[in-house]
Amino acid sequence: MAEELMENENQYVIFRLGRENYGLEISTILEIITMQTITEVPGTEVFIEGIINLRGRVIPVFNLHKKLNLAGGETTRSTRIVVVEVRGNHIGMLVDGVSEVVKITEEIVEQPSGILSDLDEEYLSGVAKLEDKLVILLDVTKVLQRGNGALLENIG
Amino acid sequence: MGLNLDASPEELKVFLEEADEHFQTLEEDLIRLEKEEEFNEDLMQEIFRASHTLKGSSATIGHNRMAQLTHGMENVLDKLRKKQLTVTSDLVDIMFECLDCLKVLRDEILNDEESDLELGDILGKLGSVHDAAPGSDSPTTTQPAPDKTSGKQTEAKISIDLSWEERDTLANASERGLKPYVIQLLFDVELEMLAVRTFVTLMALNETGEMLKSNPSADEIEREQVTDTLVMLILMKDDEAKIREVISTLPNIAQYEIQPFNDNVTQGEAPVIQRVEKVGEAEAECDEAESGDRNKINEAKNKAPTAAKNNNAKKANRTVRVDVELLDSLMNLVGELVIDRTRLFQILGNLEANYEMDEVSQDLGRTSVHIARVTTQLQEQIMKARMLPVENLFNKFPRMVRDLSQKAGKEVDFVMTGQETELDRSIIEEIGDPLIHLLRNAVDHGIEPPDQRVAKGKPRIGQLKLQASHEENHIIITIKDDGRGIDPEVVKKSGVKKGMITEEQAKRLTDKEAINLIFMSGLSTVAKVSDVSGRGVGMDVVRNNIEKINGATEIDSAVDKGTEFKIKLPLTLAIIRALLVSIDKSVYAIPLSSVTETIRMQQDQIEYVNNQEVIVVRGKVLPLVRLKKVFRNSYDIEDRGKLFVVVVNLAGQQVGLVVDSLVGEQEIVIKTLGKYIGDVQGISGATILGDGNVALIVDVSNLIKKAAS
Repeated sequence: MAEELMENENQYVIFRLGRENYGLEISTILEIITMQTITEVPGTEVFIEGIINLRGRVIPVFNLHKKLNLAGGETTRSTRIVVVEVRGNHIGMLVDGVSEVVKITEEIVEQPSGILSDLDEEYLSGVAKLEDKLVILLDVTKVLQRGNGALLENIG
Repeated sequence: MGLNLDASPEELKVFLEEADEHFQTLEEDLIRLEKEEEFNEDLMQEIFRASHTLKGSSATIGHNRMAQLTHGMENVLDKLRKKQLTVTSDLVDIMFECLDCLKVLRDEILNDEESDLELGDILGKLGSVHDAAPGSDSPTTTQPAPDKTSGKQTEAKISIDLSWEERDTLANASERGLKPYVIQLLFDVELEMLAVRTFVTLMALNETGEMLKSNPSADEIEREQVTDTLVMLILMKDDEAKIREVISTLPNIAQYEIQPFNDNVTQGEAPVIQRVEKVGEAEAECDEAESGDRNKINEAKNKAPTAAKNNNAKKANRTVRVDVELLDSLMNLVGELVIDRTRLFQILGNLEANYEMDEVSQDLGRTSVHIARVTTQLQEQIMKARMLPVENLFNKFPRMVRDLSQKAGKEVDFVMTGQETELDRSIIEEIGDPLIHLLRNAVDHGIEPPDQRVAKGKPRIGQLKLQASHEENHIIITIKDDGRGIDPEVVKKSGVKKGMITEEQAKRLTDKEAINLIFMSGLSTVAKVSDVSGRGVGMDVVRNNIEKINGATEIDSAVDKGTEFKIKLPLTLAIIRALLVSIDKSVYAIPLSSVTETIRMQQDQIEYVNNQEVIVVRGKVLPLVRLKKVFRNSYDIEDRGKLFVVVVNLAGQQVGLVVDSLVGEQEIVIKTLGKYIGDVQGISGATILGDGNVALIVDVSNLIKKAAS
């Protein structure tokens, strides 16, 4: 991390969801924690897993599998909760495992036009072609917004 | 458009604080003034002083419109003070209207923007009071000279302070055949370039004689330190007719006054005052606080605990201003400590259960106990720091009740007690609207018009009491009237008519239960009936608001005796005691304030009414709500033979909540679910348990409402 970032470079945290690799811009992430006991909240949407205690703060946890209609999502030893901040709200997102932090330059990011079939492209900000894998770059605000726009309006 | 005030931000801050205090004084005193039958001179002085100070300070900061209005108020108050006018409720109305205008003008400073408030209307009203006043002097006639020997001045004397040197000159003046005159001019305050006009005026009058002194001085005028008044002391050969002649040629002078000058040193000698005012201007000068009546005012000041004095006392307190946000965050931190305290004891318990206790673990135990104690104290202190006396809220009620009762043609004696009772500031914010609603109801529907009251053999004036008091861990606020009360039969009838209850049910309702129907949301629209029954629309909103902050409402009413509302409030919003129960291995918290009892019973004791599970407790039928079904949506109610029922009670309605088991009683810190999750049916929030897990807090009022529908 000692190296300076180039102007058109951004750092991304890469995590797995099912068989795919996803990336989130590092500035949106507050921390990554291990699995916690999640308290289910009755009467909420299926993709809201429940709430957890994050050092005395109650924060909601979001199930990306259910939100993005991906298979799998069973809790394993590598399951992590990625805590992001969206408009001042802390929200946790369940992922299957966090692998690395990489620098991605804008040149290798392609607009998500028709590459992916089973994923709603509106949540994406692009697809990055790394040497050994494809990384789907998520737009946090959009993921959390879509389908329940009203919810996020409340957040504003 | 900005205000262009002539004051620094700090000065404005001081002004605003003081202004609020004076507004408060005026509001309280005006109500007292109207109530008191005898003329209360001290009270009158206090009112006059508040308005006078406001006039002075608003002129100082350059808020001309405020100065203009207070000037008008002062004129009327001055007449009142001198008993040239009598206090009528119309007059008090006008004064209140002035007060409202003043508040708008005050807000102009806050917003640094001129409002579209037109003063013409209210100034006209003030003027008309003046004109219509019996015994008031006709503005154009010359005031008869007061009795010189009386020593007591009844007319304003223009004051101007002189240095010794100036006094010398003055003393020599008569030798030179010059007569001293003091002139006070009041400019049209709307005027632009006031400094320039002032200067022109000063120069013009300088021609008439020898200008000994002016206030503001020529220097000050050049530095634009001007107000709407200009006072001058001129030595001249001619008499005052000459001055009048000059003044008549000058534009923009609203009014003026000329007096032969008597030095302040010889105070008490009343000068012959000649009063001249431009036709149509019905205003009187009264800078009296500065001169003749000063002694009297000082006296009054010493006697009455005035606002100014209170202010000093407040300042003498050793206090620090703290941002509310800081207090909130302190409260959050304490909340976390409270959670950890519980957790510590749980860990200790595990230790004791699983390991042999040695010296070290005993030490840990002792330290834990100490930490627990300190935490409790800290919690109490921080809670105290967040407390405000309900006075801040109550203060606005007398005026409201007065206006309401006047509008409704009722006569109401409104009494408040326990204003010093303290409540968490967030609770005070929440209960304002419900209280306003209840008071409004009491005046509108509760208390009868005077004639009806007399016909019923009641005192003509209705009693309305608002009381706050401390009771154990709660604050009780009661609102009591001696009006017509609520007729349970009428409520029952409307309930049946609206299909809220069956006729059969209505028959079985006790009077108290029937009266409680007014809180039901369906009935609230029904409650348009309430014009008959005596209570207004929206009682369900009142109850909801209070329950939202874990409070409870109780009502007691008897026909023609009156109605009493009792509102029970927690001391704080953030930390409450709760009963922890488990449902499907998850823990839920039920606020203890709404729990009446817990019952263990057999499955076969459940009976069915209309396909609804009920139990009979001491002859009372309680509907059952299975929390497992509500929260888990699981219908597989295992028949284990026995079950636990938590009986909850809100506003006289009872429901049994069926849970798997009872976990214990504990102090919990209320956390919201966050805006992202938003409102969830049946859940009012979350809390963190001793083991670090999150438990949901049951929204009892929501469940009761559901069970009832």
